[in-house]
Amino acid sequence: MRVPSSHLVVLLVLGLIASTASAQVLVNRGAQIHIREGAVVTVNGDTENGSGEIRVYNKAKVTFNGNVKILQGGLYLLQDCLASISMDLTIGVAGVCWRYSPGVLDVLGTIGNDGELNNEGEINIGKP
Amino acid sequence: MRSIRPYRILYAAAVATLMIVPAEAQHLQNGVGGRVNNTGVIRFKSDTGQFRNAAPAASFTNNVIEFTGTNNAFTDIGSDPTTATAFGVDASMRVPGLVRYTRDSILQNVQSRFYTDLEMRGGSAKKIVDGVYVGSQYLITKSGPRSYAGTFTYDGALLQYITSESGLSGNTDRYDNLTILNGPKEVRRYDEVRMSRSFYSDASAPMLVQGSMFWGTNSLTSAPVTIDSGGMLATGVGTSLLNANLTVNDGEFIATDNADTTTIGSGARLTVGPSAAAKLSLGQNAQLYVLGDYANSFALRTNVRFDPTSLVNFNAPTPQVIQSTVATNAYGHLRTGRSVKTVNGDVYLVSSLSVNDENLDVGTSMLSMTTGAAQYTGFTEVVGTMQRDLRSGSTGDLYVFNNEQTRMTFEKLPQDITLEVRPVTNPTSYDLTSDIQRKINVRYNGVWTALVRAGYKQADIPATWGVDVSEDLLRFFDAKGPLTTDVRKMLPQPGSAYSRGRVADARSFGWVELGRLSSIDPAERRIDNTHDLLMRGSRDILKAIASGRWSNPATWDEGREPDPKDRVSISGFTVHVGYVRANDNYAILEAFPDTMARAVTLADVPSTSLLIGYTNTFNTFSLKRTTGVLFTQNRVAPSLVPFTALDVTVANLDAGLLIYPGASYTVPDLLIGADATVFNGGILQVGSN
Repeated sequence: MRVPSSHLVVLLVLGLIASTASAQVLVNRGAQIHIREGAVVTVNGDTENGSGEIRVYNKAKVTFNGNVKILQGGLYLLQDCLASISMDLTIGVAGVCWRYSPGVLDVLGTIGNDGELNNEGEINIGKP
Repeated sequence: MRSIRPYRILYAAAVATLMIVPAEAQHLQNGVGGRVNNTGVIRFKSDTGQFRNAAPAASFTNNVIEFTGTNNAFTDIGSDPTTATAFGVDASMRVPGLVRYTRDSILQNVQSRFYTDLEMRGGSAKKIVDGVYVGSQYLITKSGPRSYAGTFTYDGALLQYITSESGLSGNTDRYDNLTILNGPKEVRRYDEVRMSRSFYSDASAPMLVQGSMFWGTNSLTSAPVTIDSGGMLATGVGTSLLNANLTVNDGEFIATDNADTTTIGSGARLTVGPSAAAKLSLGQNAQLYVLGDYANSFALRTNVRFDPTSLVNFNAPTPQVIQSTVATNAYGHLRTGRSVKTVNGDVYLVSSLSVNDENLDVGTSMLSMTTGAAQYTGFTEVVGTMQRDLRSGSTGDLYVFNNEQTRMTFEKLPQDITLEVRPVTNPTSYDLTSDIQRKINVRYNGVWTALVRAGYKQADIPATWGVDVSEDLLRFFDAKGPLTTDVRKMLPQPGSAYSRGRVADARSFGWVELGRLSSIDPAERRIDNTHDLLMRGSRDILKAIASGRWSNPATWDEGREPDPKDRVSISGFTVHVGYVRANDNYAILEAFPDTMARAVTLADVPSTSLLIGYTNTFNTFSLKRTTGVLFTQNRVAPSLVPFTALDVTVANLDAGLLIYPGASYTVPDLLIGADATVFNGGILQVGSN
């Protein structure tokens, strides 16, 4: 079901409130999270995708102010969306991170990959 | 005002903390099961960011990895760059795709790795260490200065272009050592590749040079090198060893000024030609050692340049063909060694010739040199025609020809003179009972006079020589044909005399030498153009050609003292025996005082005298004491000659036979002609006892 982007912030807030993990502020346990075209999302804390997908669409901008773990499922950064992670990106054995062209993914910390990291655009690791 | 809930304060604080504290580690860590599929760009932005890997090589596909820090690197998962899972640690873990080092300022250290494609970009300086391998492209894109230390290697299996680095000194923008391996390489047209030290190629890395390439110090090629499209390849200052063919089709191969040896290895061939655009140049003091082959296929031979100080050394252990040259593009120094050499045409050189170990056989061609030294070791010689262009020669200098004992010292220089020397070959007018079997043909332009020495070998002395023939009797003859009248004996001229050296063994030369031979009369010294210089050892009547002591070689036409087998003729000269006169002040005693000759004839010509004297007890002389040995005295003295005391003056006497008091002279048979005179103050004994 297509979720209107104007509703996305509400869904995320619900997710944050429902979380029982003490160190994460965004946990996905199987949902399909769509950050639609042009949307702006900021996660001020760690993100864990236990299963399911986070899909960021063209021209959207998502900022993860914390660690991001893709334990299963995937983080899909489509087309010219912009994503940044202020700390580490961890991709588990069953996890996928897919950075499509021509967008940019900034990871200021380390990318730890035990799964699959696909990049068609640009991934910047660290900072000068 | 609305109150702020406590959890919001905590949450804000946590977020602020996350945003302020920087991440420490800034790497890409690919675990043992991780896969990285990069068709875009993965950029490392921190100075110490690393691509850490624990997975197999196939787990990583790559378009571009971009390093923007100062010390980015590929390592294993534990940050060790030397273990098996670190990308680029060896060829099996070669980094796929392109690795780009790019930064605008400060320094970037380029890691020692096996790369596929490597790019230098951005204004920062790049420090490229030893052990960088590039399997495909090496790109320099608006890069800051590159400094190289150690070996930079192109090791791809498919065609690779060697990227321009044209710094003129030091290691900045100039390779240090450059190595090519595994597949074909090319220096593209208009590219310029320089290195400060060595160049190396393995057997699977042929190279095409269409631009310019300058080797640094020592170099070694193991695969063919081709120069084409106006390309240029210059050796370094050290040794260059070409173990595979080097072919110049269009362009130039240069052995640099003052370079150490450039060696064409055994089995390799340096080929220049077939057009004027294919060039070879040897600079000052450059040395080209040919252990394989060198060939110039341009018919005019004007496409090569050898500095006069340069050396070409044909030194293969198996027979070699020396490439011909022309006078305008002659070798500088030419050396041969270790094996027999032949030529494929006339060979010109302007400096020295050195022939070692085995002969240089020029066949029907010619070896032409100017005034430089010709040196021979190992009993060698040039077989065939050897010319000296003496337009810049000097009188008094010794010019060696086909062997160490065939040489001339000129009083007057011709424009050129040529000897065609062929050992164990019948000369014109050859007499197998008396002659050296060695053909020496003389050709020249211009008038000359010279001291001439001709060498021969034991093999040139036929077993058919008569019993009276001897090396000690060898004389020169001008020979032009088969008739006896075609042979003219060369006699010493005033101020000249024959000298000789016998063959000591099968590995030494004998020789005959006579001064004042010439292209002009008198006939007794003239060697005509195109005639042979014959060496004949028959025993002729020995003639006095000057007044002097019997023991003085200069007294006799053949430049030697008469021996017991000789017949002697004295006509018009005063010859003295047993003491010193002022005319030659010759003090050496007669060698055969009791067997001076087998016959002596004094002619009825003024000044004809034989004076028998003494020195202390050296006072007894005799012809050979054999029946039939004859002394014939025909001179009729016009007046009485004083004979009570030795005449020690320079003046000729006109006495016939004169024996001074205190001297004794024995002849087996004595024939005194009509009115001939004998003055005896001592003892004259006729008949043997």
